[in-house]
Amino acid sequence: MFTGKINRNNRNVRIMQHILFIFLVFFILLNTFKFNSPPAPVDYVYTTLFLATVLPVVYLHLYWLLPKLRSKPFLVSYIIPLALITAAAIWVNIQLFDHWSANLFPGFYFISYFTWWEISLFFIILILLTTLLKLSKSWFLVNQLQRELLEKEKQRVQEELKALKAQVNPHFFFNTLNSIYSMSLDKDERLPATVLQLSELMRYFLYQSNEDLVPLAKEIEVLKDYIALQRIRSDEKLDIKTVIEGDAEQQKIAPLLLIPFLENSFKHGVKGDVGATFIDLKISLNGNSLNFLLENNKGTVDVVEKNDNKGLGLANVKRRLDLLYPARHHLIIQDQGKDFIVNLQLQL
Amino acid sequence: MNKKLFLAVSLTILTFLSSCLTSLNRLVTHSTVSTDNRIMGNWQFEDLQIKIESLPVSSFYKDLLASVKAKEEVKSVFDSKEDSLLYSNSYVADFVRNGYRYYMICSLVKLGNDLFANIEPVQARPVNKPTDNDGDDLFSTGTYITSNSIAKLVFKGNEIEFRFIDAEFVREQLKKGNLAIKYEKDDLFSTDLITASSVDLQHFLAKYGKDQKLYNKENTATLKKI
Amino acid sequence: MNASIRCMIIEDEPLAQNVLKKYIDEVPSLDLIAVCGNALEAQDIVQTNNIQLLFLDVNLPKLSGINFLRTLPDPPLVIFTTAYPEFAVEGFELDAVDYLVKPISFERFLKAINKVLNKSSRQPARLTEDKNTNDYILLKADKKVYRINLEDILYAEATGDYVKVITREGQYITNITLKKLLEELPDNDFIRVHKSFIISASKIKFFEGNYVKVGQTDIPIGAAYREDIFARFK
Repeated sequence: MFTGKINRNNRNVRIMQHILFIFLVFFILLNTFKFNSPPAPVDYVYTTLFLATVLPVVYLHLYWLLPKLRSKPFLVSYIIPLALITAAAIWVNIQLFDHWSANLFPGFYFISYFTWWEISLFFIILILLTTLLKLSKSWFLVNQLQRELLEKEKQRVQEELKALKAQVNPHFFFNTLNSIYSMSLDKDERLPATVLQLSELMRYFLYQSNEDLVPLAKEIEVLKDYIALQRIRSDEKLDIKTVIEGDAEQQKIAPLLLIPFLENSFKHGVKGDVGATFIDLKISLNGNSLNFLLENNKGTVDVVEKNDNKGLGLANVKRRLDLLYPARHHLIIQDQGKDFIVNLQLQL
Repeated sequence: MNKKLFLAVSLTILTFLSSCLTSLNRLVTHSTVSTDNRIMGNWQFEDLQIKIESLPVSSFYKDLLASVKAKEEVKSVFDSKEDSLLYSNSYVADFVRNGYRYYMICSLVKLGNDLFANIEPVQARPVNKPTDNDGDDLFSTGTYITSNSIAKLVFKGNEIEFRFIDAEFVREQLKKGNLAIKYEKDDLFSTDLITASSVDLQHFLAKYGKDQKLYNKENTATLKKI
Repeated sequence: MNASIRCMIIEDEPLAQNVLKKYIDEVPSLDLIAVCGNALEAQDIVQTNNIQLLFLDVNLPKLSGINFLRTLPDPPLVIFTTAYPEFAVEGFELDAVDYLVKPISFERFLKAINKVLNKSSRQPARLTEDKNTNDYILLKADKKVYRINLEDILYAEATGDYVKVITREGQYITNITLKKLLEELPDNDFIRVHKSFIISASKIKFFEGNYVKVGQTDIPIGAAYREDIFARFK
């Protein structure tokens, strides 16, 4: 609906341009053809008749022949038709001025003042002129489109970067690194596995997130890594349960769709309470139907991050769901009661 | 372009023709001239007796030839080969009026299905003194340039109708802006001189020659064969 | 000379607590009194246990470290330890001694402690009675942390990658740079006289030409420092 309006506007602008051009040509021809100044009625009739024979050729050329300039039988599809219609129009022009107009415009007296050659010059000049105009308009259009494309590309990259930066939560990384450092001081045997988990996660965030789809098994693996990394940072009062049901082997999913929910759980649930905290994650797969159920304790985090992702993270996911899985997803977020529940059903 | 007074009165010798169109250029050119010997003969027009004969055999030509032979520096009768060609195929009308003998060259052209005549006054000398003195020639005084008149010829049995083009009509159309043709306005004589080329004149008449508005009774001279 | 500083950790991540505990262990003058996982628990403990130094995380459940600090009527000295660099300004506005970003190196930790010692030597009421016994600096030398009385330091000399700190009792070879050492020493007494030397002004015996006698040693005066030195001692 919106684009229709824009197209109409564009068309109106183009029509105006054409009308303006025709008027300009008329004006110039009028002043060329006139016998005395100011132009007399007969000059108007003369110019109109002349234009009436030239314009059809010009427009036929612009919209029918010129596009054919690219096609292979250049001679047959462009030159010959052009020559033919031009010759025909010139013939009509001469007939009109030398004979027919006596009957059509009985009150006026004029003849064609130009020879065959001179008339064809007019034709050639106008055809060339309109072709040049059209080409330059196309050139401008192409330039503009190129610029727009470049701008859009730049914007897209910047947005991706921003999104990426928002995803790759630096605090998560530094806190995890601190945990790794702590483990290294004790020569904790969890250390090697933790380093690998972190590197897998980083790799996933940085590279796979650019793909449109990733294997569901991979995404689930990353979820598990994430949970593991978060777990080592929390105390023993945290109770995490993870249940994966069904066969994830054949399925694909958009990357980083599920992690934001978990991030939310840890940031606001686990880190939000001083008492017992818990996370209950259940993923069940039935054919290509995914059911993601995440439950955690509610909490409050006092500090608001300067680049706050709380609302943004979930809003982002909602938007992505709308874009990538239109009418194929169902998201329910329950915030009442003592627990926080997220339920996402997805048609992969 | 030198502005010369043109002899608007050239054809007012035929005073009954109140307004006839005058053209700077001839309607007929050496390459388009046609002949029709029906025009030749002796004709009566009102109180005038007009003799029309082929130019090369006319007395006018003979006189001209004689006077040219006398002046050595003038090589030929006519100014150019084209003129020569044209006039060899033209006619000359000759009549006397008010003590002057008038010679008018008539060239014919066929346009469409009609015959048109270009009439060019060339000499008007007093009858009594047929001298070589060009000074007596009404038409040779330097300030005049010859002008042509154009008429459609219609043969009707023993009569020829010279339908001259109505200058009044032309002037009116020019003023209204309905007519597109080259012309010059002379304010002194308040008349218009058509300056279109011969080719253009021919095209015009080929197209509009049949339009009755171009002619009217006042401008038509009917010559009866004597 | 047993004036240790009573300190406390408020940090919710066990592994992060672990790091701080280890560091505090290494420093003889620090006495760890309590560890808390959140600010609410900590409120009572801070008051009732005469805590003098707080290692405070910012991102704590329910009550942030910053807001917790605001609630204390008579706060102890605070060193913030956190992965969030963006609260540094607020931290210093609240008169924190230092703001450490995780992961924290031991050297950086020591520097923060030295700042605490510096600060406390100017606020005698805060820490224990004996002013003199607080004028010391902590230095890490051959894998140990030494407590060196400022009184005893004669001069420090930079040799290659190390800095030798010469005291009345002996010398310590430490990894710190001369510039950083100067930062940690109180500037009312310690001046840099040469690209490779810092001296204790109170130990100057006399000047001779381009040298200054400190203790038994002749310390050269560098060209760039000459003007300031003579201006100071004229």
